[in-house]
Amino acid sequence: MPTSMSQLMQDKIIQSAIEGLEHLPADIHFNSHKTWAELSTQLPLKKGSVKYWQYAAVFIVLILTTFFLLEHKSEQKQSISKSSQPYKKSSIEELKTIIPEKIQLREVVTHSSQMKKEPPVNTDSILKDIVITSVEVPTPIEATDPTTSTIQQVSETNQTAILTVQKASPKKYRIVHLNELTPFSISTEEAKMLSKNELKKIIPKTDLSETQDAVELPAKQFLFFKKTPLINHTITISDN
Amino acid sequence: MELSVLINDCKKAEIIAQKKLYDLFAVRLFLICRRYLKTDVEAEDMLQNGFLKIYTSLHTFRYTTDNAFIAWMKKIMVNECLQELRKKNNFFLVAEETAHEIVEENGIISQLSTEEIFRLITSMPIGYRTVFNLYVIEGYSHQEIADILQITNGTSKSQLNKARKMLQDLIKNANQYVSVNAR
Repeated sequence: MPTSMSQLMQDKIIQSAIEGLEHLPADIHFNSHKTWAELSTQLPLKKGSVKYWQYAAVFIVLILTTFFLLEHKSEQKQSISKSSQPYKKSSIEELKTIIPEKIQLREVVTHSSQMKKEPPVNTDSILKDIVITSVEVPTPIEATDPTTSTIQQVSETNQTAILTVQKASPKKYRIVHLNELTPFSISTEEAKMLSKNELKKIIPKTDLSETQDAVELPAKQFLFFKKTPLINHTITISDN
Repeated sequence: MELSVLINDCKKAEIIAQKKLYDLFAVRLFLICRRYLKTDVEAEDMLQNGFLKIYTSLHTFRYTTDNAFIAWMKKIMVNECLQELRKKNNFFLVAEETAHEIVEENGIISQLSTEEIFRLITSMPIGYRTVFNLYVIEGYSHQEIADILQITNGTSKSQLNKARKMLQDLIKNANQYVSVNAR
């Protein structure tokens, strides 16, 4: 066999042996994962995938914004519900800090006596129905905002209650306390003999308010007769 | 999955397909790089560069057969390695000498295992093994090798003869070592 032919044979053997090698020899080390990790960072991104990442980024930003806003709102609600005390002047001072500036209360009556007679107000509803604070105004208030109807309804209710009290009071007998009675007994016969004027002379005058205090009316007890001086001027919470 | 489908997916720059292609050929192509380069780390770097080139220039490749695609990838890897060798000026190719024909001892190579042949090739100096690899395994002619390595035709031949001689010596030594150990 010529040398060149034998060389050719040898070359063929080597070539097929090397090309057939599909596993790593013992002393050769190849870190496939590391190489891929480095390679994958250099790979050009798919065109679609760039858009996908852009959309994903926008979506994430939207979610974060929504979450932040919701959290902010819930914090506000919590802070308001914590202060669910009777509606007093002091509570107004507190509310001043809690109520967002955006909510402007145009007309709020802040008379202390009226405020104290208010039933406990849930502060959750203050934001929504803040106009209720003007409930005790016996005369209609000229309101410029859409809450006018509410005010009028409530004030009308008050007037009705007052009328009820006024109508009911003359029908009732005046109450005379025992210590105010004179020694002689007033029998029904003697009483009949006495005229009304004489009886008035015998029975000392009593305070009308006291007699009226004893009267129990179906109307709410806090709607009472001592007409408190009305406050014509109105102030806002922020002014207070 | 068929290779043609995988290639099409890689052309669409789908990362899963790219990873599959990598897993399929990484070891084989790494061994090519390792035949040309001195260390495993260098070979890994060249494999990385080669795969990057494959992915980026895949749109230029027209699929005909699986073997054609594998040959295309191998060629890219070899070129990457040669570029790297040129950069590092690793060729210490001697001046043109008279190329002596190496007398082949019959059947000496066929007695070796594949791993042993690989180890012998990688143990040769860079200049010898580059020419040997290009001529014997890759199948380039001396003229092509001369063009690629920017050497003369004669230098390529002499380098190949020296490589063959060295390989025979290495095999002889290995056989002697084996026979001594056997006794």
